[in-house]
Amino acid sequence: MECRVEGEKPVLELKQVSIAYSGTPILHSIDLSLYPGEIHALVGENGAGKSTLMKTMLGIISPDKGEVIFFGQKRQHQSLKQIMDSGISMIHQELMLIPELSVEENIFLGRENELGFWPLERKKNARLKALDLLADCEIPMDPSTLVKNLSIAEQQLVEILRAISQQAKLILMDEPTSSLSEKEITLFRRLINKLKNEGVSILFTSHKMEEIFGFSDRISVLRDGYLISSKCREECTEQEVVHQMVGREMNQFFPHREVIKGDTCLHVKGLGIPGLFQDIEFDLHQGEILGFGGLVGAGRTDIGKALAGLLIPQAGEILWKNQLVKFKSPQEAIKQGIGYVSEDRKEMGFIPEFSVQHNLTLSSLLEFQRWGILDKSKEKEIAAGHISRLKIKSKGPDQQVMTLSGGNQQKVVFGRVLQHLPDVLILDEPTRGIDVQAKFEIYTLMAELSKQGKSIILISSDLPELLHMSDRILVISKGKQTAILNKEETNPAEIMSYAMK
Amino acid sequence: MNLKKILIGSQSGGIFLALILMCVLISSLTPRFLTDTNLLVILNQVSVNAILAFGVTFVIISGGIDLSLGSMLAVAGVVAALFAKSDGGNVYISLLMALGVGALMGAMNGFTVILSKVPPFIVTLGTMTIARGAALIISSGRPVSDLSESFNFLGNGDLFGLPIPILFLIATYVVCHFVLTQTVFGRYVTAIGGNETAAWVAGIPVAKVKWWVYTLSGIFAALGGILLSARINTGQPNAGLGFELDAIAAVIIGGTSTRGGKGSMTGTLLGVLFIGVINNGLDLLNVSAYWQQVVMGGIIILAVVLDSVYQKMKR
Repeated sequence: MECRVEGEKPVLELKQVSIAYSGTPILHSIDLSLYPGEIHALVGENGAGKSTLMKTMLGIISPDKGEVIFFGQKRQHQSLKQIMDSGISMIHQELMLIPELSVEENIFLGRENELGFWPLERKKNARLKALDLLADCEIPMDPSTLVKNLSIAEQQLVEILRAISQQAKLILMDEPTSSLSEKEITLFRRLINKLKNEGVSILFTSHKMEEIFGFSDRISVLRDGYLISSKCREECTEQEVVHQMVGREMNQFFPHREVIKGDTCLHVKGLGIPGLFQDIEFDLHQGEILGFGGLVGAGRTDIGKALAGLLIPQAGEILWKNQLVKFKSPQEAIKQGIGYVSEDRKEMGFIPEFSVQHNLTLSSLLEFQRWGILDKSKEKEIAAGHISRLKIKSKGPDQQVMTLSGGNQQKVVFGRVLQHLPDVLILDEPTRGIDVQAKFEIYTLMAELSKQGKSIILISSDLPELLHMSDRILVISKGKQTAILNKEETNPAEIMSYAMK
Repeated sequence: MNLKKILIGSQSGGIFLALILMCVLISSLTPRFLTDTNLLVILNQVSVNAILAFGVTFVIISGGIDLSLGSMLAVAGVVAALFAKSDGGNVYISLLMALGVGALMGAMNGFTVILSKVPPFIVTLGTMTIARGAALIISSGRPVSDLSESFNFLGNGDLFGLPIPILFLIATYVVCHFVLTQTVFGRYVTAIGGNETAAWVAGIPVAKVKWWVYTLSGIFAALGGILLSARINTGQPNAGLGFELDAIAAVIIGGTSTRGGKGSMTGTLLGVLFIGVINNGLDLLNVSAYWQQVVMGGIIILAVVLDSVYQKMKR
């Protein structure tokens, strides 16, 4: 289906919508239309107002000015139940499933009365309908599996199935692909194309250019609460979109990096944890960036955790600076100069209620204390240094980290890790869910660190990122190492073929 | 310090306001409330609860709970009394033994919580019963009396014109406030309560810090037990029944989050005073002891509800 022209009746229309939170304007008179069967990409840096815009479309935020028109009707303030019944549904970035319930129970959650009257009847119908739905969407999944046993990506699919089963006419997706691997993205793509052919409209946000251009019919760019453009995909170029997002020309996504390869600092031999990964072997040199490629769930994250002391390896050995090491806790790894940035920023990255400053210094408090008493002026000084060096955008060092945007939260995590002066950094999906500007800054930082002789292990599902930033790429499939590829001699297709081996 | 900052800027603003209002209300009902003697009486009465509450504030901020305070207090109180008999007792040995026993019980709580991964609610509930039994065993179920003069002095004597329990209250407040806000340990405790996994990943020795938190709670319970035994001049194996709930109530009223990660000693102090003032006011107004409990519970719930509304309004 090609990009729609004006004149056709839109599914949802925003007219001059403005929103402000406690005096701060978030959205400025937005005019936007979504057409039937249209896949609409909403792009913009974090903090541009994408989430607010989506919540306004959904109806859980009412605009201060302007109106939201859904199927010709002005949207009033409604309960969540009314919103669900009205044929619009949203898939949030944080999944909203109940882990202890099964796939089928989650799909029909809150709508059990549609399945019949008697509990057994409901159970039977839920199973049948779920099986139908799964078969229809060609997703190989057992509907009786408990959601807690699914991978994040599979959970994401369950969320989408839930929206489909609600007969939604419009599905809003906030970064639906951020945790999907290449293979799952293909599945996802098939799913949204199927929906599109049934006339369902989809609006999604993403930070990945391939998806923005690969999936969508129309691309709308939001910047600082203004709708900069809303054009058919064919009329846009990548360069142009990026330019519109950041408001300036950005010649390249990835900074230039001088490659200096020093001595071997980390030597890993036969590393394994039964059930997670086995026989991992590699050398890491000073100043090198070693990429870990593979599908989500292949074991890359667990290897990273084992190197950083979060998991204890059962087999093999780690030689760190020519010494055999066995870390029993992250604390021991940190003392030896190993820095770790987790993919799970919220769970493992920072203390949400702590200020920027307190998070920055958390791993290195022992450096500015005497008899256990903190030297607060020194702490402040150090924090201020990181805030300016990493360009952390906050109201000040005392702002709570949970109120920052994703990119700035990630910079705070980086700052904390850098403050304990690691010689090697293990970065697990360091740019996931953060905006283009912050991404670029993190790449620049990585380049700078490697120039200083620090080694980096980069675990990433973002192939362009992996290819551009790494010197070599170690590919893992189902817990086994399938290849170590040199950056110059490889390409995305080769990496994927090893990843799926 | 300016008033607006206290009321709006700090977490304890709501309870501070409530305390002032309560004082105004009671003093308008009875002239006997706002006198030097009565205010000293209140401080003296709340001192034991305050000390327990300061100790358990660390535990609650770290994301845990300690229900064994009252029982640990009883054990330490009995032990202190046994070593402080008027015939041949020594007050220093008595203090050392009681604090040591408190530390030991707290340390056991800490070990069990860390190693078993059983929720602290359950672990300390068990300790509550065990320690109560221990207090009865050690004392053979009878009050330990005939205590030495110098031990009695701890509970009833004056120093610099102030009753000794009040001096203990002030000293423990100052120390705890300092530890929580100015030291590495205090920062670690708060971090663990805020997000234990992230704290562990950041290199904080989580197990060690948690162990210390429970041990401290035991030591503070023991200190409370010593002061209580000294005041009533007997080691009562049944002392401190339900004290843990008063202490925890004071901490919660003082704005410390039950989920951990947030809280202050000043808030706890205000919470303790709030409960003390209400008790005292109801006494002065001759409200029957039965009704006092009903009123007390109602006011505690009201205070916490109002505080949460107040915190939301500030945002």
